[in-house]
Amino acid sequence: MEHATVDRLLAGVTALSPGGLFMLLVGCLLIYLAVWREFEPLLLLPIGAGCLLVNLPLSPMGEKEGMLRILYEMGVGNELFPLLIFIGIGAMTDFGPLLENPRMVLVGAAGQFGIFGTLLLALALGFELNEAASIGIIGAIDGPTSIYVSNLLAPHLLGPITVVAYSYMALVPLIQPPILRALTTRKERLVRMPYSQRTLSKRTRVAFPIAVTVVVGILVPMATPLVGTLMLGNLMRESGVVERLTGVASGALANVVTLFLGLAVGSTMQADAFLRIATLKILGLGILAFALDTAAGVLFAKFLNVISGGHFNPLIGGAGISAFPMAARVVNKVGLEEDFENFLLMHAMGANTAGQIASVVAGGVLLALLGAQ
Amino acid sequence: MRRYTIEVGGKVHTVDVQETAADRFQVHIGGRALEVRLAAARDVAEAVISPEIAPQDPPQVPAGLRPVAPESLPPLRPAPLPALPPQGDPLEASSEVRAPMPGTVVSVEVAAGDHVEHGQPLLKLDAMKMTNTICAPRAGVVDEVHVAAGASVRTGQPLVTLVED
Repeated sequence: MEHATVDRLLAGVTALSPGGLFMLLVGCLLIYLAVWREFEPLLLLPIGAGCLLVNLPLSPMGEKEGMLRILYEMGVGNELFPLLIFIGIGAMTDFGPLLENPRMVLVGAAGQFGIFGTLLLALALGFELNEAASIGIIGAIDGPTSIYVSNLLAPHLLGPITVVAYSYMALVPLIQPPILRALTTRKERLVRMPYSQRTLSKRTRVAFPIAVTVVVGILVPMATPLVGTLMLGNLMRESGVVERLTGVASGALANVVTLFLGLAVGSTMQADAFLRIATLKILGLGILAFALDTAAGVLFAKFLNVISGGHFNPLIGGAGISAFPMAARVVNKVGLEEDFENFLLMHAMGANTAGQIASVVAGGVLLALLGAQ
Repeated sequence: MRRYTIEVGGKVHTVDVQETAADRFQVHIGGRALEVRLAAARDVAEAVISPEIAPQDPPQVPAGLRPVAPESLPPLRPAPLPALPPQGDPLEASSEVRAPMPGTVVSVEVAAGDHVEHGQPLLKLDAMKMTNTICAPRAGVVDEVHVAAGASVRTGQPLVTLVED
């Protein structure tokens, strides 16, 4: 056989690079976390697969005509996919617990402090302002918002930011409880908050998504795409007249887009873009953003507890983030550890859905501050 | 079925309300049975039946029943009832374990007649896709289990009645 023929046949082997090999391991690690650890498997499995497929030597998948490149240009580069996911999330979310207890909006707003705290730290670590803002948005603890904002502000960091955001999101049940316990006293954790169910009229439920869209849209125009799609999904759900659309948006459409989004994000994880010190810094800053968010929510809830004369359980502050519904479950669980009759779930769900809205608003505020177009 | 024990002008009445359809109830009061249709239900802040009411307190009359109660019923005033002295409370020896939030009963762990310890799981309630264990607030004997697996419950709905040994 001629030398050139052998070369051609073994092109894949000879094109292996240490960086590429390392990325194959990263892809396998993500798949491992998804399959055996069940870390956000719906996203981490396609991301891991995308990472694997694009980093194989001479892989055509990420080239101009490759499937992953096409998927990226189809919906990540132009921000379409995160918005379609938001329609699905809106169609799945019941804002009832928030509407029954509107003061939870404050807790949700407080839970966004981590974004700005992390932004400042990232600046201190030498990131550019647009990069720092993208890293800070990990503190929104909201996957689609992170993808949306970082792709607009710092597309080269999209891969690490998305992976970090989703990995830590899966770790909310591990990250939050120690912070919740450290920042509250036993007495505070024991504060009982009976839940009185209110019947919400259909008019309220339908008016809510419209009102939020209009108010947020006017105040924070950059948040309109995020909040508008989230609320569109919710309007479909609450209207009750388009069940077919609600079903597709929260089912088939959300699943298809999740697959496409995961693969496309995974394909941005190429060795030269991913294997940098910046990725490690993002890994560190990401967990800090989660911790700061939780801490800010709890501290604000402690303040609410003081002004309410001891009737507000500060644990609920920990649910003022976007990780839905994990954060609310964690809060409920930590509360029950102290008192098996103290169910904080419904209050925490209210704070949690408020956190969801607040995080997309915060994303819009960041974009506006940075003058993104 | 839901039983309200109310006191009007010093006299104790028992009102049993049985839901026969979403908007139809059979109300038993003083030996009379009445078919009642619920034309509208509005929660009035102070009349919400919620777990805030300690089980020992006299249960309040739900405001939602008032507008549709036929005139033949004795006037049911939802005005705050005077707290009964603890000795005179007929419910003292038994207490209802109520649903702390809306949800679906996943499984019932006890049956009538069982002796339960403080903190022993009574049933599992799935709310917001999270399974919550409802435990006995005190030791006692299960007098009655009001729900079965699969039932959806509203906040404050009685789940299990406990009586003292």
